[in-house]
Amino acid sequence: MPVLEARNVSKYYQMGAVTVRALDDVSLEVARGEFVAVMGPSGSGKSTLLHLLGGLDEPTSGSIVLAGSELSHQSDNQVTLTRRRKVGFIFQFYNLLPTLTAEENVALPLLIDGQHLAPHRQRIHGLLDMVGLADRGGHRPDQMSGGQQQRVAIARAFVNEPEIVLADEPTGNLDSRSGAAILQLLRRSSQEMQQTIVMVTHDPRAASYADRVIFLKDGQVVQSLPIVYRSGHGEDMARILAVMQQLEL
Amino acid sequence: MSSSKETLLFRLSRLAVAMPLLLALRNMATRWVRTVLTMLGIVVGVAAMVSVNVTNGSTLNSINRFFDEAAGQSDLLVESETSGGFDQALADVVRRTPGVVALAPAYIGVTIPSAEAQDWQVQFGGGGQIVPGSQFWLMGIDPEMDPQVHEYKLTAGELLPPGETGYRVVLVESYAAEKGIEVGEDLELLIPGGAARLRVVGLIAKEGIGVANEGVIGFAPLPAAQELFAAADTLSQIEIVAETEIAGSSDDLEALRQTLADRLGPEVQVKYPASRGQLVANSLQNYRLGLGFFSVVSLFVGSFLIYNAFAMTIVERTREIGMMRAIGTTQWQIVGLVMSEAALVGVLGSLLGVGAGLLLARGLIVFMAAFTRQAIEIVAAQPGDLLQAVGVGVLVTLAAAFVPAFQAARISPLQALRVQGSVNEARWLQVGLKFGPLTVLLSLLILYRVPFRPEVAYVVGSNTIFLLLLGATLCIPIVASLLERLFRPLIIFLFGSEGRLGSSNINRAKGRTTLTVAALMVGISMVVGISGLTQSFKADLGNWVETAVGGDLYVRSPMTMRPELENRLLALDGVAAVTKAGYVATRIVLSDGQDLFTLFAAIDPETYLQVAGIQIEEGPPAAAAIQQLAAGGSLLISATIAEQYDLTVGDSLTLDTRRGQQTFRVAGVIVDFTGAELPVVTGSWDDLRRYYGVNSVDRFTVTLAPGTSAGDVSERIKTQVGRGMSLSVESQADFQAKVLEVSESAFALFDVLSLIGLVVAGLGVINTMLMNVLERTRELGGLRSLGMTQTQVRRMILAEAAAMGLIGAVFGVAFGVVLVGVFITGLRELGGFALTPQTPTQAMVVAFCLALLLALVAAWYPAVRAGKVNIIAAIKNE
Repeated sequence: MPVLEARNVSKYYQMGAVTVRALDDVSLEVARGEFVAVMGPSGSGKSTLLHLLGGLDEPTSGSIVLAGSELSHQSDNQVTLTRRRKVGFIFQFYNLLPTLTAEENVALPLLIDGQHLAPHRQRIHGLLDMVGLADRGGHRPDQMSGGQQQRVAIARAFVNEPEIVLADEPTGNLDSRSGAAILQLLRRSSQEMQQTIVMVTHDPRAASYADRVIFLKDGQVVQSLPIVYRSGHGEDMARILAVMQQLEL
Repeated sequence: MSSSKETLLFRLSRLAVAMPLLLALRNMATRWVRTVLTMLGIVVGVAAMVSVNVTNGSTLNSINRFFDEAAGQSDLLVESETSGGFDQALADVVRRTPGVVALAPAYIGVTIPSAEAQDWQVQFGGGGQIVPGSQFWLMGIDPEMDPQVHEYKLTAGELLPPGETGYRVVLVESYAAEKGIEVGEDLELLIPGGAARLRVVGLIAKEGIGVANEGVIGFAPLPAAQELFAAADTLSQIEIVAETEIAGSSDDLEALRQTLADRLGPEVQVKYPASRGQLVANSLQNYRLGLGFFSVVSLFVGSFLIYNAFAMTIVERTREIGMMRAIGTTQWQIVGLVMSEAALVGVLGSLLGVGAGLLLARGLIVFMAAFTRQAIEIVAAQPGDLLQAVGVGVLVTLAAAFVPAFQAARISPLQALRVQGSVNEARWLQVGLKFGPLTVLLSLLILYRVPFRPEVAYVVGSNTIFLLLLGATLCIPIVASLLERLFRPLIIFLFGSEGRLGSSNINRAKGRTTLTVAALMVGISMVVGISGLTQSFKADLGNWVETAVGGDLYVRSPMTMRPELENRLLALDGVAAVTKAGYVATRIVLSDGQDLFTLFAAIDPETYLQVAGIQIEEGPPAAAAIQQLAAGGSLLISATIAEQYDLTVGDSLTLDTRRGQQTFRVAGVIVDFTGAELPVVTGSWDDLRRYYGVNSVDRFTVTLAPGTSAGDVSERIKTQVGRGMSLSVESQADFQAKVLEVSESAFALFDVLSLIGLVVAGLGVINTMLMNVLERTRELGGLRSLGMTQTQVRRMILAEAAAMGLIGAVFGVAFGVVLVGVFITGLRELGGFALTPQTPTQAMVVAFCLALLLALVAAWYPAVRAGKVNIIAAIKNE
């Protein structure tokens, strides 16, 4: 049974007299533990899709089922609670609270959920350890590099053991070395922790870390390409590039 | 994991309520400059409120305590209807009345020590009364009975022994020390027709009865005092102690008061001792209301600052809040987060404000004491009042943060994914267009077209001014860009080409600009409004002194003067005309049976117009009005009375006179500042004699012959006529200066409050400009990378502030002019003062420059910060 399902999802925007079809009848299933990359040129609707999957926005038509619950029939409060407990977000610009330490930033979703942090201490430390920042727990965002900040953001996304992690260009703002480290981290969490991940990217190298790449064009899914992850993954990148060329992306 | 120490956030995470508070605390600490500025807005507002409350409370307390202490144990007070006193035989009637346990009959002669006669002048206080302590009271008492009612604390010598009737006196220690008089020495006092010496037998502390007349009082045997002042068998007052059970029950005491009033007849009034303090307190009522109003305005402007600060921090944190929403924070949690911060800032700011207010009160009380000419002791503010001030401060903060909190909650989680936070600036214009002019129109209609009952006029009026303020604020976004374009050439002239960039920048964050301009508007309008009121007051007062008081010289004496003196004055070289005036206290009997304390001012119709004029508000011309007075039974009433009791020419007015109730016809309504807030009726000299049995003059007004020097004539009056009579001669200019001085000290307090308004406005500018700089860090870095120098950046920021200052000045001056009108209408409705509004042109120009200066000074720090933006960091700043 899929963890995440989009059924005939469309999203239209009204720009003056013109109706813009950001997403047009998109259907998609993501299985537990699967790492899916969404690719497409600017304006293809990939970010819109991610927003809809995470309940940040409502589809014009169609439905989204996240971990068994249908999002479109829920109030803002209910969707927020679903997001809080079942979704982890990773943003391009990290979005850490500048006033909190790394450790506190990781703990933030638990705090928002009104949970006492002591029982989760081990887990928070474990996550910081996993992202290689065990010794930086007391640092504030302005005392860390972009790559380090993004790793804190990843730890934060995992802290409430979400059903799914949604990442929007997580490496878009990082140098290639930091970017590769982040992608390996995501890959490992998917393999070792059976973490489901949907990542939007326009970087074929980033996409090659996934199990499957979905290509969007003009608001529609035009191809779904399975990837067999290998450590070198030059071959996968070549396949991705070939599809992009073929689809004129 | 190396971080072994747990942060507070971790430790307190168990408490659900702790999360928003701790996050708020972190945010406040990180953005401490903003926090401090926001808090200062609350501090200043609450401080203004607390200081005015403490000042008003202390003033009232001092007045009441003063009268209470002087009244001793007495429960009731018998006083004459008029200043002339009453028959001593009434004391026996009181003594025989069941329920009375003790009584203190007294005669009070008002005079001065002979030694001071040379340069004595009467001093007027704020309420129009003569300043306590400027004249000496010789109180004739019964040495046996008086200590049963009053407390005498002997510090030297002895009290008057029972049965004493000689020329002996007990003084207050502080007064004796000031005058260098010791026990065993003589005190020489002026008395009608000469001087008299009294042997000082004892001194008492300035406590109990010793506080009366600020301690400038002496206690002599009753017969001696009566003899000295040619007032045989006359009493000024009887203070009465009732039986304990009667005194303990207000109903029984009222019954006793009624019985006494019936038995004693119409010549006297039986009242509660506290009513004396009440009279003084009432005369300050409007003044205290005005102060209260302005203190609330400060807090109101403070709320703009708070709103602005919170709205700004929300914009700044849009991405942060968007992220929090994205990871599962509900809308209510966001509201809770912002409101927690508001609550923290509110509580801290209000507490500091209370402290600052208590300090400020010490300063204000100095002004108040100068105004009321009364020693005011600062009272410890009631904990309840302080708690209330904290409560109001917190509430205002929460109210001001409410809208930003909801705006924050409405931030879509999608905002987290965008680069920059943004606000819908067009909304300000829409709301402004929709409600601005309408609100202004509505509040002006309410202020000028809707009549309110006097008891609600203050509440409705002051709230409508707030409504007007709100309306004017809403109008700002409509005209701000127009005004900006208008002022742009000036800004470019002042700041060069950077001026153009800076000036047009104010159109970018409309909401922020609007509220900053609004804060400036309020501060400036307070300056203009108060100046306009002061100027109108002074102009009318000046006019009144010149025309109604008239004359060139005023001749007074600490003792009563005989009317015959007029001929001797007229015979002097250089004197062209003389007229006499006399005053008695009386009561107006109102149709509902209530009565009203008033002053009967008697003028001499025969000579009056040769010396002075009358400013007629309503009625026949001055000459005809005076003629009607001469015929008797007519009065001219002050506009205060006409307004308050709805009287007009031709109506009748009943006065309680020595010959019973007499009905007079209102011959005219005149401008009269004689009694300040005490109502005054003007009648003829003959009526004074006829109805009040008074034939003594309080003041002669002298007109000089052309080409005569006032100084020479003064000298002649003193040496040729006044020998042995201690006449004081004052020129019109001196009198006018003195009267104006009193009114100036009255308005000084308001000046302090408008200064507070300006401080809040300045804080608003600092806050806004800092925020603008912060928000445009990237842009500033860009400009610097393109080659803009630090000085140019500074100039650009200052130009933006200058544009805001100029727009604030336009709104402030315009609103200030409206305020002048509203204040004057309010004074007429509440206090009965009919002032002619003056346009405070000079104050308007000063205020205009002040607004510009204030904006520039306040923007200095943000401008310097903008200049120092790190170019690399700024352009990297996403």
